[in-house]
Amino acid sequence: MKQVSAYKDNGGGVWPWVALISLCVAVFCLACAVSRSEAMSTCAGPQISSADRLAGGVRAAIGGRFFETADIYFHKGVPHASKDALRNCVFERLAEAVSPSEHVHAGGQEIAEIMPWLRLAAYCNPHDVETYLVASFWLAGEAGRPDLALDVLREAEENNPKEYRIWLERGRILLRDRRLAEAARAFDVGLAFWPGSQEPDGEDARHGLRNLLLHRAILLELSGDTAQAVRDLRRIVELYPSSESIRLRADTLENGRAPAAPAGEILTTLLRENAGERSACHREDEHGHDHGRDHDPSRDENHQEHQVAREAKNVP
Amino acid sequence: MRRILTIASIVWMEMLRRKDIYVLLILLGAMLAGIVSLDIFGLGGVAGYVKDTGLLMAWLFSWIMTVGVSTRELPQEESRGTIFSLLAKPVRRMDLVAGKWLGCWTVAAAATLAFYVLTAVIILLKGGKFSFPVLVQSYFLHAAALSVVAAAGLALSTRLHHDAAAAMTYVATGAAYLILPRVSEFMAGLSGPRGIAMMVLYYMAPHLELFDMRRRFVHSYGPLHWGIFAVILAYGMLFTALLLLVAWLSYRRKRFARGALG
Repeated sequence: MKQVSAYKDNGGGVWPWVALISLCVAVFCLACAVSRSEAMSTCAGPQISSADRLAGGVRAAIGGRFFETADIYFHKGVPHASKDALRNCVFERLAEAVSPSEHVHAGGQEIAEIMPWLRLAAYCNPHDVETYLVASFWLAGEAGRPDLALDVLREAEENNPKEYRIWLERGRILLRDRRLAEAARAFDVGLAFWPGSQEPDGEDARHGLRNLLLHRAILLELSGDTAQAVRDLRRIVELYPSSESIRLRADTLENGRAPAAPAGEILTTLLRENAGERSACHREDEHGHDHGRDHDPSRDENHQEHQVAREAKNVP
Repeated sequence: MRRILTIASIVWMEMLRRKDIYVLLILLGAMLAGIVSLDIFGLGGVAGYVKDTGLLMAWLFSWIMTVGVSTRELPQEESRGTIFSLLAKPVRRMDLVAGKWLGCWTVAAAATLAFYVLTAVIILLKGGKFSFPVLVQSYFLHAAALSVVAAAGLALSTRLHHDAAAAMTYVATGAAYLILPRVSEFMAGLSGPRGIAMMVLYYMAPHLELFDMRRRFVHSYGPLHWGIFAVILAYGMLFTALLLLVAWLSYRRKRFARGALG
Protein backbone atom coordinates (compact mmCIF):
# COMPACT_ATOMS: atom_id res chain seq x y z
CA MET A 1 0.00 0.00 0.00
CA LYS A 2 1.25 3.39 -0.89
CA GLN A 3 2.37 5.20 2.19
CA VAL A 4 1.03 8.65 2.53
CA SER A 5 3.36 10.97 4.27
CA ALA A 6 1.65 12.65 7.18
CA TYR A 7 3.70 15.74 6.54
CA LYS A 8 3.18 16.03 2.81
CA ASP A 9 2.94 19.69 2.00
CA ASN A 10 0.10 20.62 -0.33
CA GLY A 11 1.39 24.03 -1.31
CA GLY A 12 3.73 26.80 -0.14
CA GLY A 13 1.02 28.44 1.95
CA VAL A 14 1.59 32.13 2.30
CA TRP A 15 5.27 32.15 1.27
CA PRO A 16 4.74 32.48 -2.50
CA TRP A 17 2.50 35.51 -1.92
CA VAL A 18 5.03 37.05 0.45
CA ALA A 19 7.73 36.52 -2.13
CA LEU A 20 5.61 38.00 -4.92
CA ILE A 21 4.62 41.10 -2.96
CA SER A 22 8.20 41.62 -1.74
CA LEU A 23 9.52 41.26 -5.28
CA CYS A 24 7.08 43.81 -6.68
CA VAL A 25 7.91 46.31 -3.94
CA ALA A 26 11.65 45.74 -4.40
CA VAL A 27 11.46 46.24 -8.18
CA PHE A 28 9.48 49.43 -7.77
CA CYS A 29 11.87 50.84 -5.15
CA LEU A 30 14.85 49.92 -7.31
CA ALA A 31 13.31 51.63 -10.31
CA CYS A 32 12.70 54.77 -8.27
CA ALA A 33 16.22 54.72 -6.85
CA VAL A 34 17.89 54.09 -10.21
CA SER A 35 15.92 56.81 -11.97
CA ARG A 36 16.68 59.40 -9.30
CA SER A 37 20.36 58.48 -8.77
CA GLU A 38 23.13 61.07 -9.20
CA ALA A 39 24.80 59.04 -11.96
CA MET A 40 21.62 59.03 -13.99
CA SER A 41 20.92 62.69 -13.52
CA THR A 42 24.36 63.80 -14.69
CA CYS A 43 24.13 61.89 -17.96
CA ALA A 44 22.36 63.31 -20.95
CA GLY A 45 20.67 61.85 -23.98
CA PRO A 46 18.20 59.08 -24.61
CA GLN A 47 20.64 56.27 -23.69
CA ILE A 48 20.28 57.05 -19.97
CA SER A 49 16.52 56.67 -19.99
CA SER A 50 16.38 52.88 -20.19
CA ALA A 51 15.47 52.74 -16.50
CA ASP A 52 13.13 55.65 -17.04
CA ARG A 53 11.57 53.94 -20.05
CA LEU A 54 11.15 50.79 -18.04
CA ALA A 55 9.76 52.39 -14.96
CA GLY A 56 9.14 56.03 -15.87
CA GLY A 57 5.73 55.47 -17.41
CA VAL A 58 4.72 53.23 -14.53
CA ARG A 59 5.95 55.76 -12.00
CA ALA A 60 4.03 58.56 -13.68
CA ALA A 61 0.89 56.40 -13.71
CA ILE A 62 1.32 55.49 -10.05
CA GLY A 63 2.03 59.14 -9.23
CA GLY A 64 -1.19 60.07 -11.00
CA ARG A 65 -3.04 57.46 -8.98
CA PHE A 66 -1.68 58.90 -5.74
CA PHE A 67 -2.78 62.36 -6.89
CA GLU A 68 -6.28 61.03 -7.49
CA THR A 69 -6.22 59.48 -4.03
CA ALA A 70 -5.41 62.91 -2.60
CA ASP A 71 -8.50 64.22 -4.41
CA ILE A 72 -10.55 61.36 -2.93
CA TYR A 73 -9.24 62.22 0.52
CA PHE A 74 -10.19 65.86 -0.11
CA HIS A 75 -13.70 64.54 -0.72
CA LYS A 76 -13.55 62.48 2.50
CA GLY A 77 -13.12 59.13 0.82
CA VAL A 78 -15.80 59.56 -1.83
CA PRO A 79 -14.66 58.69 -5.37
CA HIS A 80 -16.16 60.18 -8.52
CA ALA A 81 -19.87 59.55 -8.86
CA SER A 82 -21.03 56.90 -11.27
CA LYS A 83 -24.25 56.45 -13.17
CA ASP A 84 -26.05 53.57 -11.49
CA ALA A 85 -29.05 51.74 -12.85
CA LEU A 86 -30.15 50.34 -9.50
CA ARG A 87 -30.22 53.38 -7.24
CA ASN A 88 -32.87 52.23 -4.80
CA CYS A 89 -32.11 48.56 -4.49
CA VAL A 90 -31.39 47.20 -1.03
CA PHE A 91 -27.69 46.62 -1.68
CA GLU A 92 -27.16 50.17 -2.93
CA ARG A 93 -28.92 51.58 0.13
CA LEU A 94 -26.88 49.43 2.49
CA ALA A 95 -23.66 50.32 0.66
CA GLU A 96 -24.57 54.01 0.96
CA ALA A 97 -25.14 53.58 4.69
CA VAL A 98 -21.81 51.79 5.19
CA SER A 99 -19.76 54.09 2.93
CA PRO A 100 -21.36 57.53 2.63
CA SER A 101 -21.07 59.20 -0.73
CA GLU A 102 -22.24 62.75 -0.07
CA HIS A 103 -20.37 65.57 -1.70
CA VAL A 104 -18.40 67.06 1.18
CA HIS A 105 -14.94 68.53 1.46
CA ALA A 106 -12.27 68.13 4.08
CA GLY A 107 -11.72 71.39 5.93
CA GLY A 108 -9.38 72.87 8.51
CA GLN A 109 -6.84 70.40 9.82
CA GLU A 110 -8.49 67.56 7.86
CA ILE A 111 -6.76 69.00 4.79
CA ALA A 112 -3.48 67.67 6.17
CA GLU A 113 -4.73 64.15 5.43
CA ILE A 114 -4.31 64.71 1.67
CA MET A 115 -0.63 65.53 2.11
CA PRO A 116 0.78 61.98 2.38
CA TRP A 117 -0.74 61.14 -1.00
CA LEU A 118 0.64 64.30 -2.56
CA ARG A 119 4.01 63.41 -1.00
CA LEU A 120 3.87 59.96 -2.60
CA ALA A 121 2.73 61.45 -5.91
CA ALA A 122 5.72 63.82 -5.81
CA TYR A 123 8.12 60.94 -5.00
CA CYS A 124 6.80 58.91 -7.92
CA ASN A 125 6.64 61.76 -10.40
CA PRO A 126 8.80 64.69 -9.30
CA HIS A 127 8.35 66.38 -12.67
CA ASP A 128 4.63 66.90 -12.18
CA VAL A 129 4.63 70.51 -11.04
CA GLU A 130 0.89 70.51 -10.33
CA THR A 131 1.40 68.12 -7.38
CA TYR A 132 3.77 70.55 -5.69
CA LEU A 133 1.52 73.52 -6.44
CA VAL A 134 -1.53 71.82 -4.92
CA ALA A 135 0.44 70.76 -1.85
CA SER A 136 1.88 74.22 -1.28
CA PHE A 137 -1.51 75.87 -1.82
CA TRP A 138 -3.21 73.81 0.86
CA LEU A 139 -0.25 73.95 3.23
CA ALA A 140 -0.18 77.75 3.04
CA GLY A 141 -3.97 78.05 3.19
CA GLU A 142 -6.12 75.69 5.26
CA ALA A 143 -3.23 73.99 7.03
CA GLY A 144 -1.80 77.39 8.03
CA ARG A 145 1.84 76.45 7.34
CA PRO A 146 3.30 78.86 4.77
CA ASP A 147 6.79 77.90 5.92
CA LEU A 148 6.23 74.29 4.87
CA ALA A 149 4.58 75.48 1.65
CA LEU A 150 7.76 77.38 0.74
CA ASP A 151 9.85 74.30 1.51
CA VAL A 152 7.67 72.31 -0.88
CA LEU A 153 8.19 74.90 -3.59
CA ARG A 154 11.94 74.79 -2.95
CA GLU A 155 11.88 71.05 -3.56
CA ALA A 156 9.74 71.62 -6.65
CA GLU A 157 12.31 74.06 -7.97
CA GLU A 158 15.14 71.53 -7.45
CA ASN A 159 13.25 68.91 -9.46
CA ASN A 160 11.84 71.31 -12.05
CA PRO A 161 14.27 74.17 -12.63
CA LYS A 162 13.10 77.20 -14.58
CA GLU A 163 9.44 76.45 -14.10
CA TYR A 164 7.65 79.81 -13.74
CA ARG A 165 4.52 78.40 -12.06
CA ILE A 166 6.54 77.55 -8.97
CA TRP A 167 7.70 81.15 -8.65
CA LEU A 168 4.21 82.49 -9.25
CA GLU A 169 2.89 80.36 -6.40
CA ARG A 170 5.86 81.34 -4.25
CA GLY A 171 5.10 84.98 -4.87
CA ARG A 172 1.46 84.52 -3.86
CA ILE A 173 2.40 82.78 -0.61
CA LEU A 174 4.88 85.55 0.22
CA LEU A 175 2.22 88.15 -0.56
CA ARG A 176 -0.19 86.51 1.88
CA ASP A 177 2.61 86.66 4.43
CA ARG A 178 3.09 90.37 3.66
CA ARG A 179 6.67 89.84 2.49
CA LEU A 180 6.24 92.19 -0.43
CA ALA A 181 9.87 92.66 -1.47
CA GLU A 182 10.49 88.91 -1.63
CA ALA A 183 7.21 88.44 -3.48
CA ALA A 184 8.26 91.02 -6.07
CA ARG A 185 11.55 89.17 -6.61
CA ALA A 186 9.65 85.89 -6.99
CA PHE A 187 7.46 87.41 -9.71
CA ASP A 188 10.58 88.79 -11.44
CA VAL A 189 12.12 85.32 -11.48
CA GLY A 190 8.83 83.84 -12.70
CA LEU A 191 8.75 86.30 -15.58
CA ALA A 192 12.35 85.48 -16.45
CA PHE A 193 11.52 81.74 -16.56
CA TRP A 194 8.24 82.10 -18.42
CA PRO A 195 6.99 80.02 -20.34
CA GLY A 196 9.00 77.18 -18.79
CA SER A 197 7.85 73.82 -20.10
CA GLN A 198 4.59 75.22 -21.52
CA GLU A 199 3.89 76.33 -25.07
CA PRO A 200 4.14 80.15 -25.15
CA ASP A 201 1.02 80.43 -27.33
CA GLY A 202 -1.02 78.08 -25.19
CA GLU A 203 -3.81 79.46 -23.04
CA ASP A 204 -2.25 78.19 -19.78
CA ALA A 205 1.03 79.95 -20.48
CA ARG A 206 -0.72 83.21 -21.48
CA HIS A 207 -2.87 83.04 -18.37
CA GLY A 208 0.23 82.45 -16.24
CA LEU A 209 1.99 85.41 -17.83
CA ARG A 210 -0.98 87.66 -17.20
CA ASN A 211 -1.05 86.64 -13.53
CA LEU A 212 2.67 87.29 -13.15
CA LEU A 213 2.41 90.70 -14.81
CA LEU A 214 -0.67 91.74 -12.86
CA HIS A 215 0.77 90.78 -9.48
CA ARG A 216 4.03 92.50 -10.27
CA ALA A 217 2.30 95.60 -11.59
CA ILE A 218 0.30 96.01 -8.39
CA LEU A 219 3.44 95.56 -6.26
CA LEU A 220 5.31 98.09 -8.37
CA GLU A 221 2.44 100.52 -7.95
CA LEU A 222 2.64 100.04 -4.18
CA SER A 223 6.38 100.63 -4.20
CA GLY A 224 6.00 103.79 -6.33
CA ASP A 225 7.51 102.49 -9.59
CA THR A 226 4.50 103.58 -11.65
CA ALA A 227 6.30 103.59 -15.02
CA GLN A 228 7.19 99.90 -14.86
CA ALA A 229 3.73 99.11 -13.49
CA VAL A 230 2.17 100.79 -16.52
CA ARG A 231 4.45 98.83 -18.86
CA ASP A 232 3.33 95.56 -17.23
CA LEU A 233 -0.34 96.55 -17.48
CA ARG A 234 0.08 97.47 -21.15
CA ARG A 235 1.65 94.08 -21.78
CA ILE A 236 -1.44 92.45 -20.30
CA VAL A 237 -3.64 94.49 -22.61
CA GLU A 238 -1.55 93.31 -25.59
CA LEU A 239 -2.19 89.71 -24.50
CA TYR A 240 -5.88 90.29 -23.82
CA PRO A 241 -7.15 93.32 -25.72
CA SER A 242 -10.60 93.10 -24.11
CA SER A 243 -9.21 93.88 -20.62
CA GLU A 244 -10.84 97.29 -20.33
CA SER A 245 -10.34 97.74 -16.60
CA ILE A 246 -6.64 97.06 -16.91
CA ARG A 247 -6.36 99.47 -19.84
CA LEU A 248 -8.21 102.09 -17.82
CA ARG A 249 -5.92 101.57 -14.84
CA ALA A 250 -2.81 101.90 -17.03
CA ASP A 251 -4.18 105.14 -18.57
CA THR A 252 -4.99 106.54 -15.13
CA LEU A 253 -1.54 105.75 -13.77
CA GLU A 254 0.15 107.16 -16.86
CA ASN A 255 -1.73 110.44 -16.40
CA GLY A 256 -0.45 110.68 -12.86
CA ARG A 257 -3.88 110.18 -11.25
CA ALA A 258 -4.78 107.73 -8.51
CA PRO A 259 -6.97 104.84 -9.69
CA ALA A 260 -10.40 104.41 -8.11
CA ALA A 261 -9.45 101.06 -6.59
CA PRO A 262 -6.31 101.26 -4.41
CA ALA A 263 -3.53 98.81 -5.22
CA GLY A 264 -3.63 97.18 -1.78
CA GLU A 265 -7.27 96.27 -2.10
CA ILE A 266 -6.72 94.93 -5.64
CA LEU A 267 -4.00 92.68 -4.27
CA THR A 268 -6.23 91.36 -1.48
CA THR A 269 -8.98 90.66 -3.97
CA LEU A 270 -6.57 88.93 -6.35
CA LEU A 271 -5.38 86.62 -3.59
CA ARG A 272 -8.90 85.88 -2.45
CA GLU A 273 -10.11 85.16 -5.98
CA ASN A 274 -7.11 82.93 -6.61
CA ALA A 275 -7.84 80.99 -3.43
CA GLY A 276 -11.45 80.60 -4.47
CA GLU A 277 -10.47 79.48 -7.96
CA ARG A 278 -7.89 76.97 -6.69
CA SER A 279 -10.26 75.46 -4.17
CA ALA A 280 -13.20 75.27 -6.58
CA CYS A 281 -14.52 71.75 -6.84
CA HIS A 282 -14.43 69.99 -10.20
CA ARG A 283 -17.16 67.59 -9.18
CA GLU A 284 -20.01 70.09 -9.28
CA ASP A 285 -21.49 68.67 -12.47
CA GLU A 286 -21.44 65.14 -11.09
CA HIS A 287 -23.37 66.06 -8.00
CA GLY A 288 -25.81 68.39 -9.70
CA HIS A 289 -25.12 71.60 -7.85
CA ASP A 290 -23.21 74.71 -8.59
CA HIS A 291 -20.84 76.59 -6.38
CA GLY A 292 -20.91 79.59 -8.71
CA ARG A 293 -22.46 82.84 -7.58
CA ASP A 294 -24.19 85.32 -9.83
CA HIS A 295 -22.45 88.65 -9.79
CA ASP A 296 -24.69 91.71 -9.91
CA PRO A 297 -22.45 94.76 -10.47
CA SER A 298 -25.06 97.16 -9.19
CA ARG A 299 -24.89 95.53 -5.77
CA ASP A 300 -21.11 95.30 -5.54
CA GLU A 301 -19.28 98.22 -3.95
CA ASN A 302 -15.94 96.72 -4.93
CA HIS A 303 -16.94 96.31 -8.54
CA GLN A 304 -13.75 97.65 -10.11
CA GLU A 305 -11.47 95.50 -7.92
CA HIS A 306 -13.49 92.44 -8.76
CA GLN A 307 -13.46 93.42 -12.41
CA VAL A 308 -9.64 93.68 -12.47
CA ALA A 309 -9.25 90.44 -10.53
CA ARG A 310 -11.78 88.68 -12.73
CA GLU A 311 -10.10 89.86 -15.89
CA ALA A 312 -6.90 88.43 -14.46
CA LYS A 313 -8.39 84.97 -14.38
CA ASN A 314 -11.09 84.90 -17.02
CA VAL A 315 -10.68 83.50 -20.48
CA PRO A 316 -11.06 86.41 -22.92
CA MET B 1 -20.90 19.87 18.71
CA ARG B 2 -17.86 18.40 20.44
CA ARG B 3 -16.74 16.76 17.22
CA ILE B 4 -17.02 20.09 15.37
CA LEU B 5 -14.95 21.86 18.02
CA THR B 6 -12.33 19.09 17.99
CA ILE B 7 -11.95 19.33 14.23
CA ALA B 8 -11.71 23.13 14.52
CA SER B 9 -8.97 22.79 17.13
CA ILE B 10 -6.98 20.55 14.77
CA VAL B 11 -7.14 23.34 12.17
CA TRP B 12 -5.82 25.74 14.82
CA MET B 13 -2.91 23.51 15.72
CA GLU B 14 -2.03 23.12 12.05
CA MET B 15 -2.05 26.90 11.53
CA LEU B 16 0.06 27.56 14.59
CA ARG B 17 2.57 24.98 13.39
CA ARG B 18 2.75 26.51 9.91
CA LYS B 19 3.51 29.99 11.27
CA ASP B 20 1.75 31.77 8.37
CA ILE B 21 0.11 34.21 10.77
CA TYR B 22 3.42 35.32 12.23
CA VAL B 23 4.86 35.97 8.78
CA LEU B 24 1.91 38.11 7.76
CA LEU B 25 1.95 39.98 11.07
CA ILE B 26 5.65 40.77 10.68
CA LEU B 27 5.10 41.81 7.08
CA LEU B 28 2.25 44.11 8.09
CA GLY B 29 4.35 45.61 10.87
CA ALA B 30 7.26 46.20 8.49
CA MET B 31 5.03 47.84 5.87
CA LEU B 32 3.37 50.11 8.41
CA ALA B 33 6.73 51.02 9.91
CA GLY B 34 7.94 51.97 6.44
CA ILE B 35 4.86 54.05 5.75
CA VAL B 36 4.99 55.78 9.12
CA SER B 37 8.55 56.89 8.42
CA LEU B 38 7.40 58.85 5.35
CA ASP B 39 8.22 62.54 5.56
CA ILE B 40 4.99 64.39 4.80
CA PHE B 41 6.40 67.78 3.86
CA GLY B 42 7.40 68.29 7.50
CA LEU B 43 3.84 67.91 8.81
CA GLY B 44 3.16 65.85 11.89
CA GLY B 45 0.12 64.17 13.42
CA VAL B 46 -1.23 62.95 10.08
CA ALA B 47 -2.50 59.41 10.42
CA GLY B 48 -5.32 58.95 7.89
CA TYR B 49 -3.01 57.25 5.41
CA VAL B 50 -1.77 54.89 8.14
CA LYS B 51 -5.35 53.89 8.94
CA ASP B 52 -6.14 53.40 5.27
CA THR B 53 -3.01 51.44 4.45
CA GLY B 54 -3.13 49.40 7.64
CA LEU B 55 -6.70 48.31 7.10
CA LEU B 56 -6.14 47.70 3.39
CA MET B 57 -3.22 45.42 4.22
CA ALA B 58 -5.31 43.74 6.93
CA TRP B 59 -8.02 43.04 4.35
CA LEU B 60 -5.51 41.79 1.79
CA PHE B 61 -3.59 39.53 4.15
CA SER B 62 -6.68 38.14 5.83
CA TRP B 63 -8.17 37.39 2.40
CA ILE B 64 -5.01 35.58 1.28
CA MET B 65 -4.86 33.63 4.51
CA THR B 66 -8.53 32.68 4.58
CA VAL B 67 -8.53 31.41 1.01
CA GLY B 68 -5.26 29.54 1.54
CA VAL B 69 -6.44 27.83 4.72
CA SER B 70 -10.01 27.05 3.69
CA THR B 71 -9.11 25.54 0.32
CA ARG B 72 -6.34 23.43 1.79
CA GLU B 73 -8.04 21.58 4.61
CA LEU B 74 -10.22 19.02 2.87
CA PRO B 75 -7.84 18.22 -0.03
CA GLN B 76 -5.05 17.83 2.52
CA GLU B 77 -7.05 15.34 4.56
CA GLU B 78 -7.74 13.38 1.38
CA SER B 79 -4.17 13.41 0.09
CA ARG B 80 -2.74 12.32 3.46
CA GLY B 81 -5.31 9.59 3.79
CA THR B 82 -6.41 10.84 7.21
CA ILE B 83 -9.92 11.32 5.84
CA PHE B 84 -10.54 7.60 6.31
CA SER B 85 -9.71 7.60 10.01
CA LEU B 86 -11.74 10.77 10.47
CA LEU B 87 -14.86 9.41 8.80
CA ALA B 88 -14.40 6.07 10.55
CA LYS B 89 -14.57 7.72 13.98
CA PRO B 90 -17.48 8.19 13.05
CA VAL B 91 -17.60 11.82 12.09
CA ARG B 92 -20.49 12.91 9.95
CA ARG B 93 -19.69 14.74 6.76
CA MET B 94 -21.63 17.74 8.01
CA ASP B 95 -19.56 17.78 11.20
CA LEU B 96 -16.38 17.61 9.14
CA VAL B 97 -17.43 20.50 6.89
CA ALA B 98 -18.69 22.61 9.81
CA GLY B 99 -15.61 21.85 11.91
CA LYS B 100 -13.22 22.73 9.12
CA TRP B 101 -15.12 25.92 8.39
CA LEU B 102 -15.18 26.92 12.06
CA GLY B 103 -11.46 26.29 12.39
CA CYS B 104 -10.59 28.22 9.22
CA TRP B 105 -12.82 31.11 10.08
CA THR B 106 -11.73 31.49 13.70
CA VAL B 107 -8.06 31.32 12.70
CA ALA B 108 -8.62 34.01 10.06
CA ALA B 109 -10.65 36.14 12.47
CA ALA B 110 -7.98 35.86 15.16
CA ALA B 111 -5.24 36.79 12.71
CA THR B 112 -7.35 39.73 11.53
CA LEU B 113 -7.80 40.83 15.13
CA ALA B 114 -4.02 40.82 15.51
CA PHE B 115 -3.72 42.92 12.33
CA TYR B 116 -6.28 45.41 13.65
CA VAL B 117 -4.57 45.68 17.04
CA LEU B 118 -1.20 46.26 15.39
CA THR B 119 -2.66 48.92 13.09
CA ALA B 120 -4.42 50.64 16.00
CA VAL B 121 -1.22 50.71 18.04
CA ILE B 122 0.74 52.22 15.16
CA ILE B 123 -1.97 54.83 14.57
CA LEU B 124 -1.83 55.85 18.23
CA LEU B 125 1.96 55.97 18.17
CA LYS B 126 1.78 58.22 15.11
CA GLY B 127 -0.42 60.62 17.04
CA GLY B 128 -3.62 59.81 15.22
CA LYS B 129 -7.05 59.33 16.72
CA PHE B 130 -9.88 57.00 15.86
CA SER B 131 -13.32 56.04 17.05
CA PHE B 132 -13.30 52.80 19.03
CA PRO B 133 -16.95 51.88 18.22
CA VAL B 134 -16.23 52.30 14.51
CA LEU B 135 -13.15 50.11 14.83
CA VAL B 136 -15.14 47.42 16.62
CA GLN B 137 -17.89 47.52 13.99
CA SER B 138 -15.27 47.40 11.21
CA TYR B 139 -13.67 44.35 12.75
CA PHE B 140 -16.89 42.40 13.18
CA LEU B 141 -18.08 43.14 9.65
CA HIS B 142 -14.64 42.16 8.36
CA ALA B 143 -14.88 38.88 10.27
CA ALA B 144 -18.32 38.30 8.76
CA ALA B 145 -16.85 38.79 5.27
CA LEU B 146 -14.14 36.26 6.08
CA SER B 147 -16.76 33.73 7.14
CA VAL B 148 -18.28 34.01 3.65
CA VAL B 149 -14.86 33.67 2.00
CA ALA B 150 -13.97 30.66 4.16
CA ALA B 151 -17.26 28.97 3.33
CA ALA B 152 -16.77 29.64 -0.37
CA GLY B 153 -13.24 28.21 -0.29
CA LEU B 154 -14.41 25.15 1.59
CA ALA B 155 -17.31 24.58 -0.81
CA LEU B 156 -15.03 24.68 -3.83
CA SER B 157 -12.45 22.43 -2.19
CA THR B 158 -15.01 19.64 -1.71
CA ARG B 159 -14.69 18.83 -5.40
CA LEU B 160 -11.49 20.50 -6.55
CA HIS B 161 -7.84 20.08 -5.77
CA HIS B 162 -6.32 22.66 -3.45
CA ASP B 163 -4.67 24.79 -6.16
CA ALA B 164 -7.74 24.87 -8.38
CA ALA B 165 -10.03 25.62 -5.46
CA ALA B 166 -7.75 28.42 -4.27
CA ALA B 167 -7.54 29.98 -7.74
CA MET B 168 -11.29 29.88 -8.20
CA THR B 169 -11.95 31.26 -4.73
CA TYR B 170 -9.52 34.12 -5.28
CA VAL B 171 -11.17 34.99 -8.57
CA ALA B 172 -14.74 34.63 -7.29
CA THR B 173 -14.27 36.60 -4.07
CA GLY B 174 -12.04 39.19 -5.74
CA ALA B 175 -14.66 39.74 -8.43
CA ALA B 176 -17.41 39.89 -5.81
CA TYR B 177 -15.58 42.68 -4.02
CA LEU B 178 -14.26 44.68 -6.95
CA ILE B 179 -16.64 44.13 -9.84
CA LEU B 180 -20.02 43.29 -8.32
CA PRO B 181 -20.59 46.81 -6.90
CA ARG B 182 -20.05 48.16 -10.43
CA VAL B 183 -22.60 45.88 -12.06
CA SER B 184 -25.17 48.58 -11.41
CA GLU B 185 -23.12 50.93 -13.63
CA PHE B 186 -22.79 48.30 -16.35
CA MET B 187 -26.53 47.73 -16.29
CA ALA B 188 -27.23 51.38 -17.04
CA GLY B 189 -26.89 50.68 -20.75
CA LEU B 190 -28.15 47.11 -20.90
CA SER B 191 -31.52 45.58 -21.54
CA GLY B 192 -33.02 42.23 -22.58
CA PRO B 193 -31.32 38.92 -21.68
CA ARG B 194 -27.99 40.57 -20.86
CA GLY B 195 -29.67 42.96 -18.46
CA ILE B 196 -31.52 40.11 -16.80
CA ALA B 197 -28.35 38.04 -16.50
CA MET B 198 -26.57 40.99 -14.87
CA MET B 199 -29.49 41.48 -12.51
CA VAL B 200 -29.44 37.82 -11.48
CA LEU B 201 -25.68 37.98 -10.91
CA TYR B 202 -26.08 41.17 -8.91
CA TYR B 203 -28.60 39.69 -6.53
CA MET B 204 -27.18 36.16 -6.24
CA ALA B 205 -23.49 36.88 -5.68
CA PRO B 206 -22.24 37.95 -2.24
CA HIS B 207 -21.83 41.69 -1.79
CA LEU B 208 -18.57 41.77 0.11
CA GLU B 209 -18.30 45.55 -0.20
CA LEU B 210 -21.06 45.87 2.39
CA PHE B 211 -18.65 44.53 5.01
CA ASP B 212 -15.97 47.13 4.25
CA MET B 213 -16.14 50.05 6.70
CA ARG B 214 -12.76 51.48 5.89
CA ARG B 215 -14.15 54.75 4.52
CA ARG B 216 -16.11 55.35 7.72
CA PHE B 217 -13.11 54.56 9.86
CA VAL B 218 -10.48 56.52 7.92
CA HIS B 219 -12.56 59.64 7.31
CA SER B 220 -14.26 59.76 10.71
CA TYR B 221 -17.87 59.43 9.61
CA GLY B 222 -18.93 57.99 12.92
CA PRO B 223 -20.37 54.58 13.78
CA LEU B 224 -22.81 52.76 11.56
CA HIS B 225 -26.40 52.56 12.77
CA TRP B 226 -26.60 49.41 14.87
CA GLY B 227 -29.70 48.23 13.05
CA ILE B 228 -27.91 48.34 9.69
CA PHE B 229 -24.90 46.69 11.31
CA ALA B 230 -27.11 43.83 12.48
CA VAL B 231 -28.71 43.48 9.03
CA ILE B 232 -25.33 43.19 7.32
CA LEU B 233 -24.11 40.66 9.90
CA ALA B 234 -27.27 38.64 9.33
CA TYR B 235 -26.66 38.80 5.56
CA GLY B 236 -23.15 37.45 6.11
CA MET B 237 -24.42 34.62 8.31
CA LEU B 238 -27.10 33.72 5.79
CA PHE B 239 -24.65 33.56 2.91
CA THR B 240 -22.22 31.53 4.98
CA ALA B 241 -24.96 29.06 5.87
CA LEU B 242 -25.93 28.80 2.20
CA LEU B 243 -22.35 28.10 1.11
CA LEU B 244 -21.86 25.54 3.89
CA LEU B 245 -25.03 23.82 2.75
CA VAL B 246 -23.64 23.69 -0.79
CA ALA B 247 -20.37 22.30 0.62
CA TRP B 248 -22.19 19.59 2.54
CA LEU B 249 -24.39 18.63 -0.42
CA SER B 250 -21.28 18.40 -2.58
CA TYR B 251 -19.32 16.37 -0.01
CA ARG B 252 -21.90 14.00 1.43
CA ARG B 253 -21.86 11.54 -1.45
CA LYS B 254 -18.20 11.89 -2.37
CA ARG B 255 -16.39 8.56 -2.43
CA PHE B 256 -12.76 8.16 -1.48
CA ALA B 257 -10.65 5.32 -2.77
CA ARG B 258 -7.32 4.42 -1.19
CA GLY B 259 -4.71 4.49 -3.90
CA ALA B 260 -6.54 7.13 -5.91
CA LEU B 261 -5.53 9.84 -3.40
CA GLY B 262 -2.18 11.61 -3.14
